[in-house]
Amino acid sequence: MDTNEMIDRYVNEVGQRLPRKTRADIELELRSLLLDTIEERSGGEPTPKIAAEVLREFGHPEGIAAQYRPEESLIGPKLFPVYKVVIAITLTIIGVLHLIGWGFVLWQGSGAGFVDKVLSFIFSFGRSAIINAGIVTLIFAVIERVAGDSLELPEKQEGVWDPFDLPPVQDPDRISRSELVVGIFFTVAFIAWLNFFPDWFGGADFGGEGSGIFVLVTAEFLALIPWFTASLLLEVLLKTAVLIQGRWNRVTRWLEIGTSLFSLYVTYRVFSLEQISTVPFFTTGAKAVLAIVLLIGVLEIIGKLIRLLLGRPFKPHTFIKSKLA
Amino acid sequence: MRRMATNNEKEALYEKLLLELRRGVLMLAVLSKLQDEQYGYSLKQSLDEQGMEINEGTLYPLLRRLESQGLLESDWQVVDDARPRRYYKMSQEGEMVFANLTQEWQALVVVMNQLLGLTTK
Repeated sequence: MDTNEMIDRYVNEVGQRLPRKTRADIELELRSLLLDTIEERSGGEPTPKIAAEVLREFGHPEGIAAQYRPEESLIGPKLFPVYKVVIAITLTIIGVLHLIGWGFVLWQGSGAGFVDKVLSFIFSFGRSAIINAGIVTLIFAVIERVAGDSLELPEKQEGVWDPFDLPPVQDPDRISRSELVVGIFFTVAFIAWLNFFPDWFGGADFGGEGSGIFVLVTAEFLALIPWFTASLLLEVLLKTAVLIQGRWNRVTRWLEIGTSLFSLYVTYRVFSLEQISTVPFFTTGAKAVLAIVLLIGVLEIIGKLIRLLLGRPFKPHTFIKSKLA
Repeated sequence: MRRMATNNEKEALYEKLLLELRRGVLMLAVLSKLQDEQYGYSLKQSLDEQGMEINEGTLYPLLRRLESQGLLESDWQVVDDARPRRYYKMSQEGEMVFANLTQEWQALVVVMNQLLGLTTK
């Protein structure tokens, strides 16, 4: 390979990596710069060896092309914060719609087992999430390409930002006393209702021969009332302890996970009952609702566990990034 | 706990920091040499001779960036029957920016020397 061919190949390799608009001009200039350097280095008698030496100094075609290329990003820093919010909203809507759809499937009571239904829910959600996130990304990429340069960062818009309008710092361990008191009051009231007036789980039947009040839930369900009571009592005790302490701490957070697990277990026992209500239609409906409650409960516990183990609020993207690093 | 960086990582970090430190200075150095028009290779030679070594892969793309920012202007010329070369020169706007940046540089040098303990107050 002679000097000219080597230069041609190098310039071509760089050019292939450049935008079409500037390619010819940069190629022309690069060729001229290379010829100048090689000529000077060789004292007017270029050899392939000297040419190779000069090209090595210029660097790999990819490296030099990268220096010439304008900074490019699919979604730039001006649009990225909005993009993240839109993605979060999109995924939340898809999640909620899937939960509703899944509840409907359970209510219909198709033949597949519970595990199969959970797996099908996860796959269906994953597929929709990827497709919709892709569409959102595509739309934002088009906006970036068409109007990226004319967008302004919020801090550049005078008068928009005011230090007095800064939102308060979120402290996840701070408690709201009124919320806790109301929560404890209603839980205690519910415990009283469960234990002293279980027959209030009833319905009125005004038609037919046997009109009057009848118990709407099965004896199997009523047999689980002590379990419910235990779960709710644990919750009351924990909330009272937190109320006295004034804020959540590591111990009470672990206890919270424990009570949540116990509550989930009780919910699962109700879900596994053959008949929850004396009315079959209500049993199917209740099972659908309980299935969603179980799923949300599991996800909540996982989130709380990760937050406790990592010692900070769990953000999936940060977590994955730290694991990949 | 944060893991100890390997020697290669430390070296890469140092190179990155050095690059960041030099980036702004290189721009000023290039502008300083383009009060008269020069083509790429002669500019590199001229910078090298004064101790400001700069890699070709950095210098030539920098010239185009400065031109796209309006600080330089360029045209292709044939001088002394040589092959066509692109000649760069500071634009009017570039001269104004260069004058202001030179003042900033002088102030910065004084402050930095004080901060680094290289001069007495």
